[in-house]
Amino acid sequence: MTAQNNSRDFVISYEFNAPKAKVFNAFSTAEALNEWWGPVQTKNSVVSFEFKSGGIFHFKMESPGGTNYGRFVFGKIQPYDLLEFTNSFADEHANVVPAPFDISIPDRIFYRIIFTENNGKTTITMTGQPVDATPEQEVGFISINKGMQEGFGASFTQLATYLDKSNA
Amino acid sequence: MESRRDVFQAIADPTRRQIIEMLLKKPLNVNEIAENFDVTRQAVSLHVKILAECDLILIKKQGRERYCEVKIEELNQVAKWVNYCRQFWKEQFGELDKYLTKIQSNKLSDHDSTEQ
Repeated sequence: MTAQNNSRDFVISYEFNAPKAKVFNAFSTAEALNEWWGPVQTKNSVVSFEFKSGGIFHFKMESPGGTNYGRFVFGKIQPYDLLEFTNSFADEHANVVPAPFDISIPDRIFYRIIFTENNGKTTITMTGQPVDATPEQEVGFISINKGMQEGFGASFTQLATYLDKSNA
Repeated sequence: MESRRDVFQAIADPTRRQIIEMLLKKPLNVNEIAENFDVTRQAVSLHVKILAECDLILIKKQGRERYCEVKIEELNQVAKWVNYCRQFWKEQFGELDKYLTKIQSNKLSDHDSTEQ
């Protein structure tokens, strides 16, 4: 079997009418994240923020239904081209907790965002995958990087096709 | 927190993703799976064990052989998560877009005022 490493199906792209430094910096300070980050249904605020590899962004999401927390742990940071982090739901001390809703999602999701600028517009391309979580991987992203090269690769393209067929 | 044995743990590893892909085509025994990888049969066997613990594959005995089959209904959870995630980030990037528009128009108006 040949592994097809060049196709990824869990990719989200978005174009912003702003230079890439501006888009990147929207992720790099608590002040900026307070302005835009978090589910639209909840009141979101930054609890703590440390923008460095291994640093944690801990945030609070409040709604009439209750208060939840979330966190990012940053991986590689290369201004203004690349940003990696894992995202999880958390408790008030920034420990990982399972998602507080019915649909099951991974406890830790690894994201890589690539920023590219063209004529003053910036496209971000985000790839995501569940983390095979061990403490070493959480900090260093050692084997995650290896996994990420394959991303949600050929397997998932085929899976999507397969599920479409089997659901039809 | 201990890592859970769930469908996401199952697909978090690239080798396991490849095994699932192979088993989607047809059920195979561990030896047949191992033939497709450079890693040892033991390593493949461990991945198969994890996939079974994550409840993503079923191991069926046929005579002396044990065949692995994917439990398709479990994979539907992955599709659901992917859809949820897509929706979530679309919303987030929409908010980021608004924020960027706001700071850029603030800057423009600052610029205007300095020129006046």
